[in-house]
Formats: sequence, C-alpha cells, structure tokens
Amino acid sequence: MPVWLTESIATLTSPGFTAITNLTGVLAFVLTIFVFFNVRQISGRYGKLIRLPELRTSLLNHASKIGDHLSDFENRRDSISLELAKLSPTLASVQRKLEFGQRHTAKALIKDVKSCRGTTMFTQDQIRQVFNHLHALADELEQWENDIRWRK
Amino acid sequence: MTEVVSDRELEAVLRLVELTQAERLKWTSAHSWGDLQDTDDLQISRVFLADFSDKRLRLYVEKRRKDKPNAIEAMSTFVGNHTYPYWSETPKLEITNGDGASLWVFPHKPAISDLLKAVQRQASGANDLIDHLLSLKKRPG
Repeated sequence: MPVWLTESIATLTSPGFTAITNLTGVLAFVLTIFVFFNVRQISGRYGKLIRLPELRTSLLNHASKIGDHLSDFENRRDSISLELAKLSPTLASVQRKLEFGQRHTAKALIKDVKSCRGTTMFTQDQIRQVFNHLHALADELEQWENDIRWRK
Repeated sequence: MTEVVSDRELEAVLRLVELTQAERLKWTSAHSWGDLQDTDDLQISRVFLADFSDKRLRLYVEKRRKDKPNAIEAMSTFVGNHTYPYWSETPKLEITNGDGASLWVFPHKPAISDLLKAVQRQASGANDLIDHLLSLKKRPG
C-alpha cells in the first residue's frame, strides 16, 4: 500500500477528524430540516395565495345561488338541498387551507350545512344562516388573502 | 342574525337582503340623478331607491372604463386576464338625500351583488308575474 494512502486513512480515522465529520453531519442534518420546513412554509403560503381567491369565488357563487333561492324559498327546497350538497366539498377544502385559529366561521358553517343536508325539511332561518355565514367566511378569506400578500 | 358575522357593514347589507326578500323593504326603480352622472369613463345603470328608518338608500351599478391595470392589479398575479380597455361593473349601496347627493357609500362587499339581485327581482315584480302565470288554468286540449 502506498505511503500517502496509509497516511490518509490514518488521518481520516483519527479521533479529531471523526469528531469534525460527526459535527458536520449533525449540522447538515439540522440544515436539511430547516430548509425542509422553510420550503413547506413557502409552498403553503403560495398555495394559499393561489387557492384562497378561487375558493372565495366558489363560496360567493354558492352564496349567490342560495340567496337567489331564498327569494322563492318554498318552491326551491330541492334546489337548495342540491346546492348544499355541492357546497360541502368546497367548505372542507377551505377548512383545510386555514390555520387553526382561523377556522371558527368555517366550522360554524360546516355545522350549519350538516344540519340541513340530506333533507328538504330545513327552515328558511337555517338557510338564511348558511347564506350569512357564507358571506362572513368569504369576507374573512379576503382579509387573510390581503394579510398573506403583505407578508410576501 | 348569526353571531359569526362580526363586520357591521356586512351584517347590515345581509339584513337588507333579508328585508327585501321578505318584502318588508320596498325598492323602486329610478333614474340616475344628483351625484350620479355619466361621464366618458363612468356609466350608471340599474338605480333603485328605498326609504328605511328616515334614510334614503340608493343602490346602483357603476360601470367604470379601465384602460390599463392600476398599480395593485399590475403587481397582482391573481387578477384575471382582461383585454384593455374594458368596463368593470360594481354594485354600490349608499345613503343619499332628497337632492340625490351621495352622503355615505357602503364599503364594497360581494353581498351587495346579492342585494341587487333581490332588489331587481322585487322591483321588477317577477314574483307577482310568476305567481300570476302559474295560477292561470291550462286550457283544455
């Protein structure tokens, strides 16, 4: 075995060098974790920026249809029931996009919709509440969108 | 009204929608007058008036010509693609006086669009027409 190789192996396996490589390994791992969480945070923020306006538009479309049905409530029970069924997946998606402290209105709305779904025996007040909550949620989403945009 | 709606202006607009649909607030169609004047880049349409609690409410659609994106739109990635110039429509709700002067404009809320729909339905007499049509007996044969 050549001398240079023997010396190199001796250096690489010395306790001092091993300590340095261990420390570097730990630092690299910490850095990887740090980058991973930052990338997740950034992608989450931009994901919200893209999806929230779309979801808000969708909520407002549902609100508009439900509001229209409220003008002729008794004759539109079936249409309202259908609209509530279409609304549920959008609400679930909105709830997933929100942070824990922002879910109050979305949760209240999901609860309202659940109590009316699968039946046409709901009252006008129940549907009015869904309509009002939809607008409240859309309003909140707009505020959060603006907040996210300022933090960009 | 629900406890979730914390914005007072939004809550007021939603209450107006409810009162309009319940026919407890009567709206009438009107012409644009007073502060509402058409210009080269501004057009007013669908004007409605209602008296409520000693106040006169005016609802109308403002069409504004946009020749180019403004500073905020230019920065935003999420504003829809428009071919300029185009006319943007915004429903407006305000408190007005007897001379048609605008005293206070409600902040823009999408709920005002729903109010406009309810008002158009009421002021046009659509419900009465539909009721009347459906009450007519079908002719035999």
